[in-house]
Amino acid sequence: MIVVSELNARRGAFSLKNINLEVQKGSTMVIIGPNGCGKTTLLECIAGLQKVDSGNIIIDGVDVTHLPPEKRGVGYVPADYALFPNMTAWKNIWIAFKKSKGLELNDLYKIIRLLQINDLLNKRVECLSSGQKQRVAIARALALKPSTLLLDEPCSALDPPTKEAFRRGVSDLLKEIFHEFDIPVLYVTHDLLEATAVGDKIALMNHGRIEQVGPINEVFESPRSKFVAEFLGFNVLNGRVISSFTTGILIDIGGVVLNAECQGGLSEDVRDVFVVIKPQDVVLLPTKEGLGLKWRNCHCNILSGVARRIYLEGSTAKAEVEVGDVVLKATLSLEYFDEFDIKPGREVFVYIRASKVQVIPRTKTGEG
Amino acid sequence: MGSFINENVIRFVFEVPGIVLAQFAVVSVMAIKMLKETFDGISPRYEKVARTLGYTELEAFFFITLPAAKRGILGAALLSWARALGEFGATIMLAGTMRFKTETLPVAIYLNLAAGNLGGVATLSIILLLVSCTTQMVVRKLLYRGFAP
Repeated sequence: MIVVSELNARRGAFSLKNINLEVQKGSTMVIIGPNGCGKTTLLECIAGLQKVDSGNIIIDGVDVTHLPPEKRGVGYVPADYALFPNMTAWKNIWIAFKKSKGLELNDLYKIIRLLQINDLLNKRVECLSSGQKQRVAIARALALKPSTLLLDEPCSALDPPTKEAFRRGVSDLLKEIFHEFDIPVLYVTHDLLEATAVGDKIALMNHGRIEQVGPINEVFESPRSKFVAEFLGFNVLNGRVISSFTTGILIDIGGVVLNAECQGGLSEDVRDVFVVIKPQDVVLLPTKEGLGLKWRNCHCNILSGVARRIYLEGSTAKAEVEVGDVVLKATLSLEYFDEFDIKPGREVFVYIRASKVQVIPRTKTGEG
Repeated sequence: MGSFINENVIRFVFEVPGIVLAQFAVVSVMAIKMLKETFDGISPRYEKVARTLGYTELEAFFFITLPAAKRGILGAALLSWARALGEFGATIMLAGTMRFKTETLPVAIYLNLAAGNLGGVATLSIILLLVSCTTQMVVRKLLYRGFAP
């Protein structure tokens, strides 16, 4: 198990502030955030490659905060894999194996078999493809018999189709590795799809801080701040509470009034809020009468708007709809837009369940 | 200082060590520049990863960085040697031009030319040219064979 508590570190003008993390054996924590938010610096702090100003890093009950990297027993795979040049794949792995404590040669062959690199062992690293280099780099890190595995953007060097195939491969691979080695894995990425495919838990970072950490479903279901909601691609709108009821609240979002079921309850003095709506919870229809039975008895917002833009993002289609002064993003299949004849410039009705409207109180700093 | 070393430590002026010193002074700048380029081309990340694999700073240098720089070091040594072979000015100033004592290839060409022995000049020039070309070819093969430091 790895525990990071109250960690502060500086690298030039950038600093990590008050990082708290806990990863259990056999689980994967995905650290995600925009470029320059401190993901790699955090991994380097855990690996011992970056000086820590204050706080603790505890691996398997041992405080390693001030130990040099060679005494931590942490397997680290950097973004560029950093396989040693002018050596074969086998020599790269052997260099780590020589220093491992308690790993038998049979275990090493098991790692090689698991990562399917048997045929690559005699190849020089310059002759390997990005995907092959990645697997050799993971094998090298595992050959140390590490107590923790740190993977820094392992898919960043792959092109999108390979990335997609490898993403699926990595998730299966990591699960097998957990089974075999029972170690905590920290996986850094800035790709949401990759994060959901690989991780059990997710930590979102911004400006050197962790904004939210928790199981992936929980973070996707209830983002705790404006940054998290925006990073996940949700609609985030500035709102003002008009009135509160026992069943929910009414919020004004730029001339449009929305019903929200506020399950956790909102304190009475909160007026300024952020309204968060997932694009997949925004349903568009050309008429007011087209919804099925399951919508009839629900507490639902029906808003009139104009479709402004419809575009493809990967395999899904997205639409931007102008409702009053605000623009809402909706995610639907492209066939849906064709079937209901929703085109840019056309009037549409926007359906949003009140239970799907989340409300985050706005703090004095302007952040949720 | 110079005369003290010359009288009590090692004699450089008009002696063989003088050739070595003169050639070292001329060639070392080029050798250091080439070695710096070689080591600059090796990412410090390799040493960082080696440290996480259980190697100390010194071990990481000897087991990872130095083998990665092997070809660059060999190339620098060969080019420096080839440059030293053709060195004339500094050698003649420090070691002089004494036949069979401080006579390097360029000095021998100079002495043969002064004596009017054009056949000797041509032979020695061709030897020097062959050695230089061979060295260049070996260095090219060593350094530019798809090698990424």
